[in-house]
Amino acid sequence: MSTSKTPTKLTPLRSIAQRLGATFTEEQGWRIPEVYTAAEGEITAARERVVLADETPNGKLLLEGDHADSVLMDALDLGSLQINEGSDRIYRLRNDIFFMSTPPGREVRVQKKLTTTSAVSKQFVTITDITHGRAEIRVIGPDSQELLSKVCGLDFHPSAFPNETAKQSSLAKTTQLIIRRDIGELPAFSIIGTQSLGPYVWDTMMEAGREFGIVPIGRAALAALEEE
Amino acid sequence: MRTEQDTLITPNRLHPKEGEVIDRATTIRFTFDGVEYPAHPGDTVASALTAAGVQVLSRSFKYHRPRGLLCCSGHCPNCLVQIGDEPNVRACTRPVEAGMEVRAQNVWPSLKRDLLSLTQLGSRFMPVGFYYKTFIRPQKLWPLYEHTLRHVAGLGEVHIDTPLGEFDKQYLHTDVVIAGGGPAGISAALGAAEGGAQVLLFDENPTLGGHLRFTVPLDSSSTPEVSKDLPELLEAANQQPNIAVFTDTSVLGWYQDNWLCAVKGTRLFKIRTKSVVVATGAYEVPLIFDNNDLPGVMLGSAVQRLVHLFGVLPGKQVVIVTANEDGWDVAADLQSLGVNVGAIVDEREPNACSSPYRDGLVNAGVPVFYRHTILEAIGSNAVRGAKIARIDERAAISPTTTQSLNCNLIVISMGWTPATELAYMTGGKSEYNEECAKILPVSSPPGVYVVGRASGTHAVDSQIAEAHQIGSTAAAFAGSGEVNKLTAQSSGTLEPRRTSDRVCVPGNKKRFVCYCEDVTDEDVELAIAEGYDSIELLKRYSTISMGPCQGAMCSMNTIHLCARANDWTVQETGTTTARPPTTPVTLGALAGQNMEPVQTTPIHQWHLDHGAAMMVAGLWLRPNHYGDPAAEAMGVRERVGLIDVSPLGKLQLTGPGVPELLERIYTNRWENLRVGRVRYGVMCNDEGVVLNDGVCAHLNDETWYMTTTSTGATTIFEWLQWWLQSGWGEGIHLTDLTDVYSAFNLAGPQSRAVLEKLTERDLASKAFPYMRIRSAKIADVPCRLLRLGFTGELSYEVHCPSGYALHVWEALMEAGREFGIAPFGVEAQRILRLEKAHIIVGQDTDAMSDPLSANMAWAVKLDKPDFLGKPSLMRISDEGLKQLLVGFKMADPDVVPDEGLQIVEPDADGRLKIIGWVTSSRFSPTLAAAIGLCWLPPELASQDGAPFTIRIDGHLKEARVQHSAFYDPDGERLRM
Ligand code: FES
Ligand code: FES
Repeated sequence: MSTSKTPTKLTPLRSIAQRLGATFTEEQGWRIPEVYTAAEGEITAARERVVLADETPNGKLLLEGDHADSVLMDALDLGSLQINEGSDRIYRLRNDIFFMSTPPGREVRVQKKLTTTSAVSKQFVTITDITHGRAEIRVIGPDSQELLSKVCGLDFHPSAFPNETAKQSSLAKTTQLIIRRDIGELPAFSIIGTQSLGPYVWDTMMEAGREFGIVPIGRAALAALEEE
Repeated sequence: MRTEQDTLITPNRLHPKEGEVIDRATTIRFTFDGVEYPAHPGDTVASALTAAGVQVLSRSFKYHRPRGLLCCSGHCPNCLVQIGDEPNVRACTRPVEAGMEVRAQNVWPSLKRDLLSLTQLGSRFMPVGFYYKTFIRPQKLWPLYEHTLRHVAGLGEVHIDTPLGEFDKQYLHTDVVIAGGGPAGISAALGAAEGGAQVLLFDENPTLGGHLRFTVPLDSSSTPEVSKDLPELLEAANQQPNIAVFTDTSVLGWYQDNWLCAVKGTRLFKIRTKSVVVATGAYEVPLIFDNNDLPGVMLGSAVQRLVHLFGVLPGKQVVIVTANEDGWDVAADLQSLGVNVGAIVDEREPNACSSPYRDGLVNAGVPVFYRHTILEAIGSNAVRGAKIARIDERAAISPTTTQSLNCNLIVISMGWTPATELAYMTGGKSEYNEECAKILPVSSPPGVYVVGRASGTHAVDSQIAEAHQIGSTAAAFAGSGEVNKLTAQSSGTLEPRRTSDRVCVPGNKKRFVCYCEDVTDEDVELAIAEGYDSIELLKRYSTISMGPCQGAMCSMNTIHLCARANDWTVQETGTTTARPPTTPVTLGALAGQNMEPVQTTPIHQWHLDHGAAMMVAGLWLRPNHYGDPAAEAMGVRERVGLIDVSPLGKLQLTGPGVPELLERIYTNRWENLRVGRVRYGVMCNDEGVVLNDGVCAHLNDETWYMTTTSTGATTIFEWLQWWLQSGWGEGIHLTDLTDVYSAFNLAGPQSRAVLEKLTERDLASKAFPYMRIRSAKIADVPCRLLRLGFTGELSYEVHCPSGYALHVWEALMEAGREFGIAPFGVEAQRILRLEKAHIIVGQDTDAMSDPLSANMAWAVKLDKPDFLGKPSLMRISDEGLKQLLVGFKMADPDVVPDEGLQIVEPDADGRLKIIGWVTSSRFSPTLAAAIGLCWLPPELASQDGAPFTIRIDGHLKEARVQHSAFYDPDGERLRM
């Protein structure tokens, strides 16, 4: 029998955050680190060095099908899907595969709308919510390119990897989707990969970032940086 | 602070002078073989030891001859030492640190008195290749030979308990890479950067400048104006934002598409560049003569490095042996420092010498021996003199003219050979240039350029001008700036200084060609006489150029010797193939940061908190058990248990084409699988070999949910993708949900009772029978439930979104408390499945096993139109099975054979022959019996109860074939 209302979702990185003494908050049903040490220090580290943040709760949808693009266009044209400026993002990974990133919780509504549009247009498009299956680690700060160059063979220079673009690559010997999403002037990259590898990828990047004075940051610092 | 005592114990330290890199205001201390020595910050280990008068730094590889500084630039083996845990450190390039413990390596009992040098006495019996000939018989003694040889020859020691070092790697991307930071390299970098290219400039030394750092102008009116260029170049490079400088960094190799590899200490760089400029300079060439390896015989550039960078003079009575103006430069340099130049021995006629310093030196009374060369370095542990002789008209040594000179330092300055390994790795071509007696690069692939001494240009002003233009050409190749027409001297301009092509002076003592491998000129001649006359064969047979310096000191001389012995030209003789790495690199640097991916399930921390002993399965960490696997198995049989099976592969297939795909990839039938049902299936490859197994559920109209083995998830996903993209993908989408869903198997007679507490779904067998799938909310989380029976008990696989995994797991554990629930691990699961005789693909099957032989004929429908592996399985079926996988029970319940043990039977002669092997075995706590699965010949396997023998530790133990499952053969419990 039902025992409680909708339970809290946990990210694969929560044990690491717990170990590091983070305090937690809830966002759209996800339990995420609010602060690790002190938000001020975390903001400074992000501005001056490099930090990692757990952004696993962001919604993640996969659209597959030869007509996935037209379903997306239909959904946008018909107004059934409002692209949220600055928060919803669609990346074309392959001719017939799109990855959509939404703010936490929004993926459920977006998936429903896209599924309806695809059904109405009778196009064979599969829309899968993979939010629970992917860890999302955000690397932020002036040293983020330098840090990533220690674990990944891509060229992270803005001329080769412009803001708001995505690439799939091997990172620390795992397959990851890497999206450049700068925060203002601050270089920032989202590293998205299977959640079971999340703790390993996090630890590997923390280790590689030691020489830069890397620290983890929580939701409070992240929100402050995004507001600036 | 420099003390009186330090002055006394550093007799070779000169007075302070401009350009030196040491900080004389500070004195630090370190030890060499237990003796304490002073040093200044900036000193290398070798410069500090030389300052203190230490000449012998190492013993040679084979004969254990004393060796001292030769090149002082990291390009020979003579100064290899052990520092702490690190073997094979080059003392001449490693900066000394306070408290450093430096030891000589490969000596016994000590560097001074190394008894292993007695091997020299038997050197007549150890000619080149002797170990190939000697140590092949008797074969069984090889382990002894190997053990002994490893102790006698060798390069340092790595202690097994050495703590792991910290190594890492970094990827770099750029437009132009300049390898070498001498005048040509800096100038090329400037040319490229001014063209707008991003430039990475690498140099193996601690600072840029190359030879200009230590070949400074002398206080003489005839001084060529060279070194004034260095500060200007450095300043310009410093101001140029497009140049990133990496000092102390060696470029190790070039790979296809301008992919370079470089190392700086513990960090390895992998560099992708659009063009490369090779400005790696040149190696000074040693001369081969009697005792040419004696400590105190040094190259001219080595002496200049010591003098100018570290203020250290390695000897006070100097004889300079030369064949061009370089020797005279060194002589003038030393003379200007007040050093007593005892003699200059120049193999040329007086009129061939055009050194601007000649008159000054002669007027100062320095004896000059024209048309002379050195015959022998006199001394046992260090140079005490030099024997020289005249060269007659036929260019032979005239023995009657032999004379001895007193000296304690012999400076060899015979010329240079371009350091072109990197250029040749790119596929560049070379030719021997008779004019300057050097092998020079003549062509390189597009985007690769060679400048400076590496291209044969010796004059600094020419180097700078050429390199600047080539730098801008490299930038243009990379897409920045315009291609510059070369207006300066072209690359490869003949330098005024010819290298001597006299590489060897005959004698009657040991004359070393290859210092690293202790190979003499006689060894080379012998190898050629034995038929190893091509340069590549000679290299492999003699191991010349295969030592730590990779031929920097010996390649050129070997080519000359080989040419002469074969009566070929140098051009006909050719060169050996250059391969990475150009300089030795530690395995740690190649390995980099420890990056071994590990997958953990969302319940990982819970498992650890509850005492799980974890095991590695593929990349996954899984609980093997929580203390008592047998009790865990019994808990499942009697009550209820919960296992984390999240690693199971979970694939979603959608679309109208799925049923046809399932028919093709599974060996059994799928088109009739109705919605809500689950079926077990086996996948085979074209050869009919079992690839994977698992269940597949028909979720709704066009959606199927497939599970695969835990370790096969990625492989099967990729395998299916391959088929979908190879023509079978029409109307099918495949998504990997392995990580989206976590999965737990709730197993045991009480599992339904536990689950009922957490869901409103009707779980009664009628509503939810065996081999069905249902959606249900479990503890308020939307889940997929599969009723399966791997353990042989009533069980439910609960698949929930991974973010809720811990919540669902804890809810199940809590709900099961009243029923005595306990978590169980992989080991208990293995016992349980074995009691049911369920196979595990990869454990009970191997790369040869087909499903018919694996006793799964029931899952193979050969009457289906087609499926992967069908033709092979038809053939196997027609030809008959060779082996069959069956269950067995041991006669003695306490004897559990190890997995992999052989099943044997006597042949006609009574000798035991292997007829099968055990794949799985366990003690079954439920049955109190030792049971297992094994491969047997079909005629034996097909007889239920037939006895056979397993060889266990040399003893033969009886087992009997069992056809039915050991536990609940009718499967009643899983259908409860
Ligand atoms: S003397 Fe150190 S490497 Fe040659
Ligand atoms: S001298 Fe080093 S390999 Fe020959």
